[in-house]
Amino acid sequence: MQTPSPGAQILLVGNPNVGKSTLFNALCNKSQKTGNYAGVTVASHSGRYLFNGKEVEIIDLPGSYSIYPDSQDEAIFTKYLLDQAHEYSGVVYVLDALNLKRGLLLFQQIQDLGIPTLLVINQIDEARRRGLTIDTEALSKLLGVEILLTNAKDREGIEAIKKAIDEGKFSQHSGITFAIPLEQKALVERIASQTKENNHYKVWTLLSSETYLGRLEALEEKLNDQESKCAVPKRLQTQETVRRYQHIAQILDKITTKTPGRKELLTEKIDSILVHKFWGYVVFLAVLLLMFQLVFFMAEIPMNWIDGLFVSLSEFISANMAEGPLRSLLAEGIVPGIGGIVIFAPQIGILLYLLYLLEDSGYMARVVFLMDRMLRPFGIGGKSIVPLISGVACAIPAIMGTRNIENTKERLITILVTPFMTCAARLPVYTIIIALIIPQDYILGIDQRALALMVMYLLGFVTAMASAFLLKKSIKQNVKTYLILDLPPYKMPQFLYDLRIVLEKVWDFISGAGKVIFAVSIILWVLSYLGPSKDSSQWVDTEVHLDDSYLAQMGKFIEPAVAPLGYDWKMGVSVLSSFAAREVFVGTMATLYSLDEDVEEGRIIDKMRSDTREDGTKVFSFATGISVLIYYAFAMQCISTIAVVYRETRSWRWTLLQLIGMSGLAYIAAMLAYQLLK
Amino acid sequence: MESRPSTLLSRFPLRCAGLVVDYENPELTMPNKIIEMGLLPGTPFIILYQAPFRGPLYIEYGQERTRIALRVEEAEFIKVEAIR
Repeated sequence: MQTPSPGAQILLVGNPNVGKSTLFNALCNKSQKTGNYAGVTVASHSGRYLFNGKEVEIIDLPGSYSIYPDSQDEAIFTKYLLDQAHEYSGVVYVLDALNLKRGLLLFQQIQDLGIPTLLVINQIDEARRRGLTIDTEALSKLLGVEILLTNAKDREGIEAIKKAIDEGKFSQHSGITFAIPLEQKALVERIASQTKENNHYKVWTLLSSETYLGRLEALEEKLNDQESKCAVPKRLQTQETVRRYQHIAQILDKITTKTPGRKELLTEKIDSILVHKFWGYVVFLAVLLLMFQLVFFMAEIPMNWIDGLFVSLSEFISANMAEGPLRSLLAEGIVPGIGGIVIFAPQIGILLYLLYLLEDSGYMARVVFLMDRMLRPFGIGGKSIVPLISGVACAIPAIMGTRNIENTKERLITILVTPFMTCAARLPVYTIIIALIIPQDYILGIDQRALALMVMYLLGFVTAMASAFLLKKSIKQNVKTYLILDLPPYKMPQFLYDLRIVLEKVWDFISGAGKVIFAVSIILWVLSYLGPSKDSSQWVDTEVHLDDSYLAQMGKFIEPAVAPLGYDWKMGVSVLSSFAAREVFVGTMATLYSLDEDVEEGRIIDKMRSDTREDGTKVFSFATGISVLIYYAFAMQCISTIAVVYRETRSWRWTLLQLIGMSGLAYIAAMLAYQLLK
Repeated sequence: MESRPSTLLSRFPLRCAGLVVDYENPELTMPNKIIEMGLLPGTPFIILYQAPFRGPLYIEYGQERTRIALRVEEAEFIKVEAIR
């Protein structure tokens, strides 16, 4: 028995879809994400709560079916469980009352590893309603573990869990329930005495695991030929799983009353449409369309508020501050720059929220089922569809979401092509450019601009698929691929919880992009406020005309590189400054145009529209606009994505190849488009 | 002692009750996950749906009525027979 000290760390473990995150949410009032970029092993949430004056930290590990990892996700799980054993004081294992059998497999493995455990059976009400009774007292005795019952959804039994954790009701076993097969018994005992490891199951896992658990190099040498033949890891795993299931079946026979097979009636009914050969796809398309529709229509009103707010803030500063460099920096640099990005928060938030709700409801698993066959010719599988769709919000969580793809080649391809999907950061660029070059008109009752935007989304998707196909052909690696996916019963999404996560993410986006734009605005403003002096007695002139500033000089220096794409120096500066993040393009444009006294006051977009080149033609001609759109559709202008690709692939080669491939394609395609259209 | 004709899950008809009999896994290439998910010999199952163009199978199995999707390639590892 162990008692958690103040600040004790508890792991939340279980199969996927057993209500772990619901329980986590019910336990922790202060939710807190572990850093996305810290390179830590935990991909999940960590949260805290206070009980009895002590703070307890809960870590929600990714769901897994066994301690033998098949995917990156499961590898993270196993690694944390074993390597961080000194960090946490116990495991709260969540078992779904409706599927005890599958859950007990992993539970007993964990127990056999000598890890202190506490068992929580979730959905107990649902089980009772279905006529399934569980003799928990007998189960507790048979397993040798404290059992608590909950309905995490209704927050029932939560206090009891906190109390049990506080009282240290974790039990740790010295013996193991798994009977090591006779053929390996002598071998296990020999290694155990050589390595001085008392836990025979730990020794067994050294023999039976292929990857992480530590198939020891040294071990191979210790085994003679005869022994190595017996110890084929895969065969041992199979033996273990089968034996454990036999044992579990015996336990369950004693403690559950057999019920005539229940039916997931609601799920049955819903699935008869949602995975239908024809209607399933119709519904999927409709869901996607509805999602985009909602993103644009629902976001319009808050976007107008934000726009108005920042314009009046700028005006307020202009009207109330004394004329001078500071006023110009605030009113013409920082405020329009930040405003240019905050305005997109509603769209990003709505998109993310809808995606979370779909995921939460269980629908995404059905999409995997529907799309698997369609995606396989492109070298990816059904599981890639989730990253591809979430790539429409942001490539970073999408790329991290590839961890549950077991096949390394499929995973690599998915990581490499996901950034082609039209992420939310491209939206600001697209929206502004489309508004500049496409007149507001209707084709067959459909807004032309909306249509243009849809074309951009399609372009991203088609490019992603085409590159996936090319990669499939060029990556020489043939790993056996498989799809075995749990299709959980549908459930009502956790609207509030998802909303909270979305708000956090949107805030991350705004503050992250905000910081960059803030810095960029100041640099831009300084460079545009100062210019080389015409008077030889001074080095620099202040309050120069924008076209005479250092910024213009720098812009004109890079102009030859961007001129073939149809960009002037302002756009060149904007493209360059948005190398770190696409949305900065709009912020930079906003700053540059507010600084330019030649153009009339008014909304920035009007200033951009009326801006002309030296020869009197419009800066934002149709050809230039298309060139910008194509450039941003393809170019890898996002430093965070580059970082996350490197972290997930652990390969500079692929990271650089992706960067060069995407940006090279962008430059060439944009140039071709401009030259053909001008 | 083959009393009933067994076939592979990949060839089993839709919406018919069946029983997992054994695995067809001489090269040990079958993903262990099949076993981990509890699709063991003796488990009753039914194939509810299949995605078009020989896409994945949507099967329901065991007393728990667990539902999973698996590809035809994986289904080829699983020997089954019909329940009469």
